[in-house]
Parts: sequence; C-alpha cells; structure tokens
Amino acid sequence: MTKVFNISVYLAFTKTVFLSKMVYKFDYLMGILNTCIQLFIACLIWKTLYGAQEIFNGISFSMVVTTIMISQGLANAYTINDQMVSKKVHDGTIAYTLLLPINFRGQMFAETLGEILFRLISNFLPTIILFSFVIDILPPDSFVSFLFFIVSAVLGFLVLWMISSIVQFFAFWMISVWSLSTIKNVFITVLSGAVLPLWFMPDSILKWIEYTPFSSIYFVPSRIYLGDIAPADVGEFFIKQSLWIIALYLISHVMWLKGKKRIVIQGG
Amino acid sequence: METVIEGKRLKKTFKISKREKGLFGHLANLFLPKYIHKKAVDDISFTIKKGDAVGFIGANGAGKSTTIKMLSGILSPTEGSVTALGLSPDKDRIEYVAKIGAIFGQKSQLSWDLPIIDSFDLLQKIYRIPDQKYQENLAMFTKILDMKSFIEQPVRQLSLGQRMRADIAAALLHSPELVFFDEPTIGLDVVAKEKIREFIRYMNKELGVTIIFTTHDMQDIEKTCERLIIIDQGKKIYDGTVAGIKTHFGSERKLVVKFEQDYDISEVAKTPSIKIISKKDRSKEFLFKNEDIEVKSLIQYLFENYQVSDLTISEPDIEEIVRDIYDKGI
Amino acid sequence: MDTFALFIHYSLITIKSRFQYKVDAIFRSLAVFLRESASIIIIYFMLLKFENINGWNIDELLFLFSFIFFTYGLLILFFTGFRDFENMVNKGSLDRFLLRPRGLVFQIISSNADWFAAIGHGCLGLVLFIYSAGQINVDWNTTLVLYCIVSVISGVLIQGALFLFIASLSFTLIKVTNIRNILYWNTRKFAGYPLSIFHGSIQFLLIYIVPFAFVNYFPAQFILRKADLIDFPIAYIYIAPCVGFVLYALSYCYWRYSLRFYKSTGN
Ligand SMILES: Nc1ncnc2c1ncn2[C@@H]1O[C@H](COP(=O)(O)OP(=O)(O)O)[C@@H](O)[C@H]1O
Ligand SMILES: [Mg+2]
Repeated sequence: MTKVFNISVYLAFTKTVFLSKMVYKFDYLMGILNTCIQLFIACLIWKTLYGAQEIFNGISFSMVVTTIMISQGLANAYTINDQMVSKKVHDGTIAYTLLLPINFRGQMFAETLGEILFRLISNFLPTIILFSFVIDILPPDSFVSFLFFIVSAVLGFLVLWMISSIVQFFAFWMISVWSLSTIKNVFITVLSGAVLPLWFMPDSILKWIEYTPFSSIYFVPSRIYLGDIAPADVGEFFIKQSLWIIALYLISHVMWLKGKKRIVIQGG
Repeated sequence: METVIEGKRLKKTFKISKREKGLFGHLANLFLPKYIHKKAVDDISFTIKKGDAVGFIGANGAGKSTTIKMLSGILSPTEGSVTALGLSPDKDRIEYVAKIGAIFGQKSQLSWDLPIIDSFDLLQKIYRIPDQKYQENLAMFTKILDMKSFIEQPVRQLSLGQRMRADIAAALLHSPELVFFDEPTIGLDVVAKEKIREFIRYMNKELGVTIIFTTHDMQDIEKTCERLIIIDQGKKIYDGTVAGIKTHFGSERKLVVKFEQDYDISEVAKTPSIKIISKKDRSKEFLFKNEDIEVKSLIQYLFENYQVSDLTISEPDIEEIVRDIYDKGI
Repeated sequence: MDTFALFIHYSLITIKSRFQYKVDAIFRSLAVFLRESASIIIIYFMLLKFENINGWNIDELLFLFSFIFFTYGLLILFFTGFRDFENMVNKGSLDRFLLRPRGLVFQIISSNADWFAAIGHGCLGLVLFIYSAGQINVDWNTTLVLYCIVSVISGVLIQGALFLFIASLSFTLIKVTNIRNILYWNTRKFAGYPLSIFHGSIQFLLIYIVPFAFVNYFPAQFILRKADLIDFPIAYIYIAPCVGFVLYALSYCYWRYSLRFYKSTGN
C-alpha cells in the first residue's frame, strides 16, 4: 500500500487540534494559573537561596530566574502525551490505524505540534509577559542570540519528541507504558536543567550529563538566549542537538518497524 | 397475594444546571449556577404483588430508569413514598438491597480486565453468600445461561450478549426475591434477546421471583410479562394486562398496497372505518381497525377489483401505540 | 473482621487487574517513588551548593518533606475514590455501590485503594523520615514518636477531609474537578517548604484555608523548634495532631448531609 505524503493533510491535523483546544477557555485559564504558581514558587525559592547576594558562583540571580522562566515555561508547553500508541494497542485500533493511507507517526507529530503551538501561545507567552512585570527577566543577549534561541528551542523539542517516541513504541511489547513514561520524565525533570539550572548541578553528575541528550532539550536554548553560549559558539551545540535527534530517530525507527511487524503477525 | 412494592404518588424532579457558553459562562457556572427543573417522574402510583412480572414501557426519556432507581433505593423521591418488601428503599438501604437484584443494560458491574468468575467471587463476599448456596447458584446459572465457555474470560473479550448474561447472573447470585431489569436487551441481536427473555420467564415462573422490567421493545414485554405499565413524559398512562393494550390500542393495522396502475381508490375509502393515510402514485396506505374489518375480506376485495402487485400489513410499533394513547388520553 | 477481609479481597482484585500488564505493574510503584523523588533530588543538589533555605539545612528539609509523602501514601490508599469522585459518579459506580448491602464510604474506599501509588509515596516518606530522623540531632523518646504517629494520622485525615468535602460539593455543583485542582493540587505545591519563606497571604492560605501547614510544618516544628516558629502562634504545634480529626468529622457530616442531593447520572 502506498502512503500519501501530502503536507497539507498533516497541517490540517495540526490546525484541528489547535482549534479544538481553543474551545476550552476555562481550561487554559487554569493552565495559566498552574504555570504561574509553579514559576512563582520556583522564583521564591531561588530568592530565598540567594538571600542578599546578587551573584553566587558567578551566576547572577536574574540569570537564574530567566533560565527558570524559559526552561520551565517551555517544559510546561512541551507536553507530549506518551500514551497515544499505548491507547491504540490497548483497545485494538492500532491495526486499523496502520491500514489508513496516512503516515501514523506523521499524524501523531502533527497533532502534538498543534497542541504545543497552542500552549506556547496561550500559556508560555502570557505567563512570561505577566512575570516580566514582577520580576527582573533579562532580555535576550542580542538579536542574533534570540534567533539562535528559537532554532535551538525547536531542536530541543525534536529531541524531546524522539525520546517520547521511543517510550511510546514500547507499547508494542508492553501495552501499558505508564511506568516507563513516568520514569523517563523523572530523568528529564532532574537532568535537563528545567528545574535546577545545570550550573548548580554537582560536577560529578554534570560530567555524565554531557553524554546524554537531556541538556539539549531546555538548557542549551536558555543559555543561548542569555548569551552564556556566544553566537560564535552556537554551531557546536546545534550539531550536538541534531546528532541526538538523528540517533534517537534511528532507534525509534527500528522499534517502529519491529513493533509494527508484531501487530501484523498477531493479526490485529 | 402479598404486596411487594407500593409506590404512592411518586415524583422526581431534577435540578439541572443551565450551561452557559463562553468564558463568562464558565465563570458564572462556577460561582452563580442557574438551574432549570425537570420533572422526570410526575405523580406515579402502583402496587406490585409477589410473583408478578411487570413491564415498564415508554419512549426514551419517559422516566423509566428514574422510576427504577427510586424503587431500588438509588434515588429518593422528591415527593411521594415507596414501600418495598416492607422497607423504605432509601432509609433502610442496606437491609433492602440485600434482598433485591438490579441489572442495568447500559452499565456492567463486572470488572473489565478480570475473569468473570473473579467478579462473582467478590460478590459472594460483598453479599455474604454462604458457600454452599453460592456454589449451587453458580452451577445453576452457569448451566441455564450457558456461561461455561466464557466464565474464565475477562469482560473485554466477551460479546454483548455474553456480557449481559454474566451481568444477569452477577445480580442474582444472592437469590434476590425482587429483581429490576433496566433495558436488559438493549443492543442485542434476536437470538441473544430470546435467550434473555427465556431466562427471565424461567426466573419468574419457576423460581417465583418478582420482576420489574423496562424496555422499549414491545416483544420483550409480550414474551415475559402479563402486566404492563406505560409511562410517557413522567406520567403513567396505562396500567393493565398486555392483552388489554393490544385490543385497546394496538388494534390498528396499516395496509400498504402497491397497485399495477394509479387507480382512483376513493371507492375503498367509502367504507367508514378505513382511512387513507397516503397516496403516492401506485402506492397507497390504508389504516383500519381489526375489530371493524376483517383483513381477509379487505384483501379479497382489493384483489377482486384491482390489479395488485405488492401488499404488506403491519401493526403499529410500540412507540406509535404510546404516542397514540398519549394523544387520546385514557 | 469480615469488613477487613473484604477490604483485602477488593485490594487483591485491583492488584490482579493491574497485573494483566505485568511489566508495567512491576515498575509502577518504582515509577511513583522516582517521580516523587525528583523534587527531593533537586532540593538535595541545590543545598549542596547553598547549604540552607531560610536557616533550614537539608536534613531538616527532608524531615519536613517526609510528612508530605508519607501522609500522601496513606491518603491514596484510603481516599483515591474521593479524590477521583466525579469520574466515579460519571461512570455510574456510585449507583452500583448504593445497590450493594455494604457501607457506601467503605465501598468507595476499598474499591479504589491504589496500592501501587501508596507504596511508592509511602516508601519515599518512610525512607526520608528514617534517614532524616537520625540526622537532625533530636533525642527521640516515646512522646515524640507517639506525637509523630498521631500527627501522620491527623495529616492523612486533613487531606482526606479536603477530598471528602470536595466530593460532597459535587452533589450540588456541576463540576468540581477545577475546584479540586485549585484547592488541593495547586496548594500542595507550596506545602513541603518551610512555611516561613512565603508571604503572609500564602501563609494564611496554608494555615486556615487549606491547612497543609498542619500536615507537615507544625508537626515538624514540634520536633525541630527552628527559630522561624516565632512567626506563628506556638499553640499550633500542640493542636496539630488533633486538627485532622476535627476537620474529618466536619467533612463527614457535610458528606452525609449532601448525599441526599445525589441524583445519579442520566443516560
Ligand atoms: N441524573 C439526572 N440528572 C438530570 N436529569 C436526568 C437525570 N436522570 C434522568 N434525567 C432526565 O429525566 C428524564 C427521564 O430520564 P430516564 O428516567 O432516564 O428515562 P428513560 O429511562 O425512560 O429513558 C430525561 O429527560 C432525563 O434527561
Ligand atoms: Mg433508561
């Protein structure tokens, strides 16, 4: 069977999800409240930790707050539902889905994209703007830094997506992937620097984080924004992010092919 | 005969919040909800005797489930009172529900992921059924309801008919003397429906269980109950025998005839008890009453005088009867 | 006794149905344990560099946190049904419970006991408690141990009372999920840290409205007596073990009262 690849079909998925989210106005007010409380507590704790000091270990309070805003804000926006495949395997609709003349992974991605765009606009932006009145959020280091930040944030999302895909495809073997997804999220929360900027990570652990994809998700974009990574050095980090995307994609692709075969053999 | 249920002037009014759209609507709903009152059951009284099999029938939203819920103690009536098995279903809940069983066609009480037998074992503990009685009942239901082949399977692997049978057994394991069935045949195919009707009849006739049954399939009632209560828009509009309703209200027949050519049939309509309800080219529909006109002679008459190519006779279905009774009143 | 046996039977049934997906079930408790540890690990790393938050060192903070996790472990063993009450009502489970000859609250509790999550949260609480109790330089005696046990029960009841209260509201209001999220989950994010780092209005919220302060801060202060206790009435550390019992009794009365408004679900 040939699968049609027509980008407009996928954009339609993205748009549908985006628009359907807009219906629940009350839910997104609640979403903003949630994010605000979370960011507020984080700021308060860092404020208490810094006390009267302005700079600690060479990192200023404003830098910390800005990183927190960006990386936790992005983390709140980048919500990926890890149960998409699992649900379809559980209720048996996966076999049917595979027969449709659209690329299932493409559809998953397009729908997630719709949700994330929606959350970036309805959650990330308003909270950042709100907080900028209350707290000293630093502006981007330069216009170039800002542009590179955007690119890096997109790459960061792709890294996250690939990790999530791998977890999702485990559903072909395990059916329910709730535990796996939860454990994965622990690693991301602790090691990505979304909650604890990696400057404050003990060196012994930081050494190991170098060899994982986690810092590529939120921390690298934040550093580029702050100018902590100068525009001249950005190339190296982009390459690193891209290599992770490719490597993770290859793993997830192999899993997809194997998993799909299992479904076909079982006869749905 | 001993009275099992006595329902006196039952009323149930639901306060339904009126949803408003949009962001302000949401906030308003949260802080200042507005309500409308919906009368689901409106002044219904009846008495049911031991060993009766009573069918409740009525259109969707007529108030059947609400009545059942009041009789089984899930809801308390807004006004009026229920006495059942000498108890008040909502006040003496625990004592009362130990003696009744209830099956809701739309909702299963069995665990989705576990073998049916596991759900049964749990029910044994919940109802404190003595071991011996439990084993006896289980063996009996497994045999009559033909559950042997799937009793070790989880619900998610069963057909709707199998699930329904398992649900019925689950509700009867503690040998209730009074059983409520709320649309037990909904969505089932003819064979599965028939099995369930047969079982209900068996329970009523052989085991002497009192049965209350709701449905909107008239055939369910005909095959299981002697007595019928019709509800429409929360009011009781008929209470009597099944045969009674057929002669009283179900006696109209519809005859659809397709002629070879487009005749002028005003001649037929001259007979006062025949009504023509539609004329479309060669197809005509007549309505007449069983007691006024003999079907045989009418058909004979048509064949003698016209060239007929096709002909069907139908009884009006239950929704039509209910509507009919409701329109005319009783 | 018969009731207890039934509770166990219910639990076995729920556990068995989770074990339909073996690997997932085996890792479930571990996943919860790790998920909840994440915040602890992060605080631990923070304090490696900064040493203290408002005068509280890492051991004292872990002690403070252990109350939150341990009480939550017990809480979801008994109150998951009330936490997710709205869902349960929509599925029609409450109708079914009303048709069975057992107490309603008992059935709601036992058919929802979430052992996997309870073990995850509970173990984390226990590990933190045992570790930090040894580090905080306190002479443990029977009174203190007894105080902690009663406080934990009270802490479970405070949160249980909250769930029960919100569940009761669902009989008269349409949707309570949002109210639950605001009152419980959002407030819980503040709980865990020393009360004194927050502004006055948040302290007020945590003491008088959604009294998480009595779940961990005041009980921990009874043991630790940190300097920042002078911001609050000292009596609170003595009444902390009773608060839960009082609140739960009140909530239960409100539940009994609200139950008469139950109107089942339409089709
Ligand atoms: N829990 C409820 N809340 C609000 N309205 C309800 C509820 N249950 C039933 N209704 C309303 O009461 C009427 C009767 O419903 P029901 O008894 O379920 O009818 P039936 O079972 O005959 O189809 C319907 O209009 C229905 O919408
Ligand atoms: Mg109904």
